[in-house]
Amino acid sequence: MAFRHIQNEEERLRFSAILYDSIADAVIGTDNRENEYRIISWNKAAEKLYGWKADEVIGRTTQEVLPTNMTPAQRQQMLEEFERNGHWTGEVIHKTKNGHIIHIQANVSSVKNKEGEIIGAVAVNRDITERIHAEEKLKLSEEKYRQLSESLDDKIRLRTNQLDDLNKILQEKNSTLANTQSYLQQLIDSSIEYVLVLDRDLHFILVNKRYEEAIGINRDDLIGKTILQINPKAAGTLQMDYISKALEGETLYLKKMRAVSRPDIYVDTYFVPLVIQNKFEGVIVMSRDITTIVEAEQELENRNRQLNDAQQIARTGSWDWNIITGQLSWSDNMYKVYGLDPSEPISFEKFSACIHPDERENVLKGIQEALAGGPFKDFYHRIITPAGETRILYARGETIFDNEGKLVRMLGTGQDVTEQIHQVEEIKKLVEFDVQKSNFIAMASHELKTPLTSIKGYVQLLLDALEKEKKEEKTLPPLLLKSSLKSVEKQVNRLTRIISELLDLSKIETGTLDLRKEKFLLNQLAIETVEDILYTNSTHQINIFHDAEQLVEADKDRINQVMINFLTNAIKYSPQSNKINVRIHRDLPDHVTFSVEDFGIGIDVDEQKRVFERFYRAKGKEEQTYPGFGIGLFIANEFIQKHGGHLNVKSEKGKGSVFSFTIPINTPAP
Amino acid sequence: MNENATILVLDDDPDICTMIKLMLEYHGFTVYTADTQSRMEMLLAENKIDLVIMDMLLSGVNGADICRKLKNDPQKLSLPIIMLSAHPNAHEDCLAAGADDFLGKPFEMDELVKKIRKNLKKINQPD
Repeated sequence: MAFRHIQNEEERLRFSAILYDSIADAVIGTDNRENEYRIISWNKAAEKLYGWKADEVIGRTTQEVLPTNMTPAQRQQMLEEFERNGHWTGEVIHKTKNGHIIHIQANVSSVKNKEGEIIGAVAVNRDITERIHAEEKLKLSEEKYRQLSESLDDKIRLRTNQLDDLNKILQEKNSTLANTQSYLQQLIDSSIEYVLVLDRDLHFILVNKRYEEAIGINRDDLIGKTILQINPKAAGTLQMDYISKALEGETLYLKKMRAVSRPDIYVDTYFVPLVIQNKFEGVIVMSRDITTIVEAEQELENRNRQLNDAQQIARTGSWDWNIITGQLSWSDNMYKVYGLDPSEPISFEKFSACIHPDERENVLKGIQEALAGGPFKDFYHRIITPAGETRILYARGETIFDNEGKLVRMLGTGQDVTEQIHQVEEIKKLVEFDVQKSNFIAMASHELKTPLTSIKGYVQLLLDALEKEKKEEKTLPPLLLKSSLKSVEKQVNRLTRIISELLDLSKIETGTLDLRKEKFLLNQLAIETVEDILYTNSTHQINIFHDAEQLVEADKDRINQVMINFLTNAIKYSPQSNKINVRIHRDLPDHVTFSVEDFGIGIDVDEQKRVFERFYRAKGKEEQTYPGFGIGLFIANEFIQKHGGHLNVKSEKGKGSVFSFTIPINTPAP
Repeated sequence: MNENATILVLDDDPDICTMIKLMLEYHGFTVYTADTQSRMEMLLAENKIDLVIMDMLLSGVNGADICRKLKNDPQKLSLPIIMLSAHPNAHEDCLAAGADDFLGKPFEMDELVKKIRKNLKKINQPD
């Protein structure tokens, strides 16, 4: 077919109209009148796109037909841009006749007149809804993906972090756990208690060092074994019973028991259930070594017992006086010491009444001084028991003050030392007797040697003289011979007397002294004795006073011995005097008395009691000593007592003495 | 020698005094005897005494005290003293009291004469 060119305006218009309708995009022509764009053309594509027919929209404003999603401000901005540039391109949202939302790509061109004024506009609108939708969908899916991806990331990251944290915590926990275990072991190892942990089947789970050391088994050899394997002796013990109870959930405490595996150790033990996840899985056994405490307690108890025994043995009681309340309390032994009934409580008045009257004032004074804040001075005092027995006590005490220095308490002991004091006195006597005895031996040897000295001297002299007489034919002076022999005889007699005194002493000591009694006149014996004395002693004048003339039945030799003893003593102890009075008198009807009075050194009242003791010798001034046995008066006393009589002494220091004996007559007066 | 030396004997036993006096006179000495301290002091004051013999134990007086007293007297310091005693422990006490010599009772006459001579010699020939 052959085409021809458009030849006229009509054809040109028709061509334009076909072209116009054949365009796929909606082409909308508008004219501008008073700023309103009224639709003047609406092609087929526009009809199809918007649903509006051309005749429905021609003459109406674009705003009426094509409402947009633009805000008034956006529309104003678009108009201004269009008028300024002469065209506008953009995407807008339009609504179709039946209300569908469509996305439009708009291309608006202006139509100007010759003067350049905008008189209309042509808009070419292409439906881009699908593309937009596709885009939106894509966008949405992208977003979703992104969101998903992001959330997934977060989650993973979070999880990773969590895992990291967990890991860290785990690591920390692990190290803490390791540390804790180490701490725990160190802790229980450093414990001074014996610690062991057993499981339900009594296997060792844990032990500490001290426990290992105590039983002497290494923990490696303990763990996993049962306590009964390690120590079969544990079976049936109270401790095992307690372990069983602890396994049932009881916490128990066992006081002061010998340890099962170490009977030499005393322990206080806790049995504590081991709780794992609310179940009793074992038992923790913790024992504290209290051996030293128990030993100290036992020691204390022993001491207390010993003290008590000692108090009893030592006859010592104790007292405690509360000064604030005034209450005085005594131990049982104290009541015993005082011989009082312990069921009747002591009081200060009762105590005071027991004190020996001679010492009460002093004792109370001492107590008063202690009460006034002075020290308690220990003292000896006598008491009289309700039974009337006199006892000697040694009182010791202490005062106790409070923080303000006020006396609140006094306590102490009272010891019955009667026996000790008596024993001490006995010992003193024994020691003194011993000294006297050794003095006696010395004196005896002295007494024996003195006459021997004379005898030996005279005999030597005579022998020498005889020798010389032979050689030089010189006669021995008769005076020398006679006086020498006389002296020898005298000293032999003296020796005989000393020896017989020693024999008498021995007889007295062995209880074999016998009397040979005969009847004789005491006055006659006195005269003979005085004459004998005067025969060897010329220093004293002896007067005899016969106040009574008395026949007696007695051992004449012994009585004579006593008389000689009295007279020689009177001479010996009155060196500065020259007078002695002898008297025979009768003060009692059946008795006769012989007395010798001297005016010599005299004897102290204290000494008078002792002059009849064995080995006693009177003391002169400044411990002057007198030769002699010191047994004369002792023997005399024994002789007279044997006769049923007695010796007597009256004396004043420095003035003289009167010694006398009194014996029963034994024969009726003639 | 000093056979005519003068000797004082102090003993409270008159028999011993007499015995010693006889013995020493027999050996040529001049002898005074005393049975108390006061008598001895009187004799010492009145006579020229060359030597004293005294017993340790006297009635009422300890011989050692008299000895000590004499030895503390500057005028009697050089007077030789021989002490006698029958007491078993007297020897040391006598020497401690300052006695020049000691003789236990009973004694040998020769022993006493020997001691007298020895102590007289000491005085006359001081070393």
